[in-house]
Amino acid sequence: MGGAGPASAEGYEAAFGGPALLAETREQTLTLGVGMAAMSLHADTPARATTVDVDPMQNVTIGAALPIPFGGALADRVTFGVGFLDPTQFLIRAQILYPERLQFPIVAPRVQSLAVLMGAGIRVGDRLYLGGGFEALAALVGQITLALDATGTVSSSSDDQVVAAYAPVLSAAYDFLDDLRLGVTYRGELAARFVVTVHSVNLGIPVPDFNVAGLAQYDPEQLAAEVRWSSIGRAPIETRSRAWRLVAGVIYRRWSRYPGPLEPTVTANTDYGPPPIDAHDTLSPRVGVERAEPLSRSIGVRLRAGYAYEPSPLPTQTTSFQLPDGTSSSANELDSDRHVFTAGLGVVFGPKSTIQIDLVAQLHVLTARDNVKDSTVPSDAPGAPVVRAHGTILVGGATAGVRF
Amino acid sequence: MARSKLAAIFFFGASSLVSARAHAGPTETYGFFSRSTALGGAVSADATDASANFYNPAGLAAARGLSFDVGYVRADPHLSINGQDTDVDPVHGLVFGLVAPGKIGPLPFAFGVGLHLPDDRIFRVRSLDQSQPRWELYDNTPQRIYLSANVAIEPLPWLQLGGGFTFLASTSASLSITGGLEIADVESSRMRHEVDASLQSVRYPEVGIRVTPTKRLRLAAVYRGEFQLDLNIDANVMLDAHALGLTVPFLALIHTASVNAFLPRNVVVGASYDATDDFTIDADLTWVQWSAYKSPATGVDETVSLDAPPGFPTSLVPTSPAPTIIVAPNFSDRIVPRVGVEWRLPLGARERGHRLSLRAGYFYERSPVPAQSGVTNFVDADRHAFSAGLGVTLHALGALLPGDVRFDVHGQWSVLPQRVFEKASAADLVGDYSASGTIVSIGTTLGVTF
Repeated sequence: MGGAGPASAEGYEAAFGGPALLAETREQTLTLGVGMAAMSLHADTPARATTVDVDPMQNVTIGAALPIPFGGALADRVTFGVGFLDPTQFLIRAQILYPERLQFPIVAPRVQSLAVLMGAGIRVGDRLYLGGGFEALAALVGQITLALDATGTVSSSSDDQVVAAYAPVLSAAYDFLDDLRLGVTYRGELAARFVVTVHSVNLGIPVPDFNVAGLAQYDPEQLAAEVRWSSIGRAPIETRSRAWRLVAGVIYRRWSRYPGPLEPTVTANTDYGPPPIDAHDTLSPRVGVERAEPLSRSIGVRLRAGYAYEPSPLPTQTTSFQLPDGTSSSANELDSDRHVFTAGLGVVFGPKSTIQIDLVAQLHVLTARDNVKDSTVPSDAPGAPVVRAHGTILVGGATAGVRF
Repeated sequence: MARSKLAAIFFFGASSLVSARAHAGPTETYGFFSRSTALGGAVSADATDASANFYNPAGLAAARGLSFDVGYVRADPHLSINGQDTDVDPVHGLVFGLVAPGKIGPLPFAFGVGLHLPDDRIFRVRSLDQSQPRWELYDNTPQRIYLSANVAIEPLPWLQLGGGFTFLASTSASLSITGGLEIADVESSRMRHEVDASLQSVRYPEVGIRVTPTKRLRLAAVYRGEFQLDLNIDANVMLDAHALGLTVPFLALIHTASVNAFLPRNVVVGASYDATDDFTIDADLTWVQWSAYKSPATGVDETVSLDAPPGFPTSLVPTSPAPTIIVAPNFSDRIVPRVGVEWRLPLGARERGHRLSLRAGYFYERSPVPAQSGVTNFVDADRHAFSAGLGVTLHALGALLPGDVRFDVHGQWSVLPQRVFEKASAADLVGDYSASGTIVSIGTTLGVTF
């Protein structure tokens, strides 16, 4: 449904889209799923058409929504949710490339990282839902120390650590009318760095510390707001439900805080470093629709469709920067606006909706964007005189959920 | 002295990135949740709480209600070589688990998650030369996350089956450093780098079975899969070294390979017997396949070239370092016996449901490490672990909490008796040495069962 969330998320997915709505789940639910994403990203110059290599991604998702059977005043009000998105190959991939390489630093890393989501939601009174949780990513921090031993041989030791980066997720939803709900979700900035410092001690020749570092994955701070209308009011959609749901929302993302994927190799040299990325904030609108229709007393279907517009946070790559040897080149950290079309099908089995199977497909279309290099860029620099960024991303997935 | 220094910097840098060791994790070494740890870990047939995610997933199906457990554990090793403490880092972190039992139709079903999260890292990989003495199974051993997800079913009233996966990750990277190195003023050096690194998803399976032939006896068997990964690093270093008015192009291409994060396969059989309604005896035997352990030492292929101009001092022309000769570790399998007892006392009227539990346990781990008479120095000793703990369970505290609230604490004291390592060669740089130590571990768990 166009990636909707704060007013419409269901089950364990609410831990990501809007933890407050976990409180709507009143039966224990376990969901297993698989997903895949294939990217076709292109960076074309007048001389050559280039396909940027991005590994296809497959992942496994595991999620659970568990109502907490408190008694008394908290009875039927609190639900805990947990979700793992586990890429089958890479827990996280850090591709931190020289800036002149043709690359898509915004979209490419996003499909190759483990996500852990955990949250809880509570229904306050009759119409207000509050929730919170966190999202976690993995990051790598390390140090290598080189020194001369007593025999004059260079010896080394290393200490590499995988650490966790966390971001809070807070949400609220309110049923203004029986058929109208407003939801908001705030998600904190999530940055997974790769940092390995090479430190030399008493080698006999001076060597600076090498800061082999960069940003492997970055999710900006964001605020999402959404409105949901339901033809059956506040009732949940069950097997025999016949209903329409419409959602419309917008997401504000604070990309202006994105420092870019690269860091200086020699941090002591403040006069030289990678070119700035100059990202800007974005506002992304989205709409979605869902139709629930019973096929029989024990089988129901849910059809979904949606659209989202994702403006690019990066400027066109037009200017030059200086290489270590003093010559010039041009950055090619490419991106473009995206139109996202989604469709989904859900089938619910059992008079109590015991089993639900969902299929989803997303097509992202990166509109063609020309990055025209200015006069300071050498004619033989990568991407010169103009590089056109465009492409498509196809995402598919299937989940099976069971109430137990 | 300056010979091959520049090459060596990047050679050792890259090899150190990969020369990793990791062995049994924190749960295998220090236990998982206070009750099970206090019982010596002899709970494959007994655990039905969140600790069953590790000890035997089949036990999840015997859980009485939705439960959440959270706790904290800290272990302080005091391990010495020749009487000198080797400063093995302590292990401390949060433990979290949940068990959600229910039914799918008529079939009892349960889902569980277990997590041990070190305070300051998910896991750590530390490399040392194979000849450097270190406590191979404890230095950096438990500096790792444990995360598992499991399901269990009860197809028959006396039979529970369970299984799941534990998630870990290995690291691999290729990196490139280019630019200029200013020998006279290194901080003005202009360099840059690019990296293609990944933490690769790895999952190893765990399956278990639990049977209840009588009302008082439970039997169990558990299998945990082996986990090891090949780790490769490629480093490409191209620099222009500026010194003495000369610019000297330097190139090093380095490929390293090693084994990372080894976890041996193990099989557990266990029993739990209620001698009375208030007294339980647990016993486990675990076979651990340490013979499959591969040396963590790094194999290195290196090409170094320096385009020395005429008149450049030949003593500064680097040569490739001698390759590492990896010695097979030849660890041996071992059987680990475990035993635990629990005595439950009512707190107040028995029908009120509050109780105090007293627990004790013991296990013995024979060292799988052979004599270190050659170049390697993998230090280890037998381990005797004594544990004790107590727990308070409060039942139906009020309308808000109709189930149980549990508070458990445990302490574990491990003794590693002195072991002497003698070298075959009198010219060995390390020489003979002795090793011994103790490990003290404490922890607490707070749980709620609805």
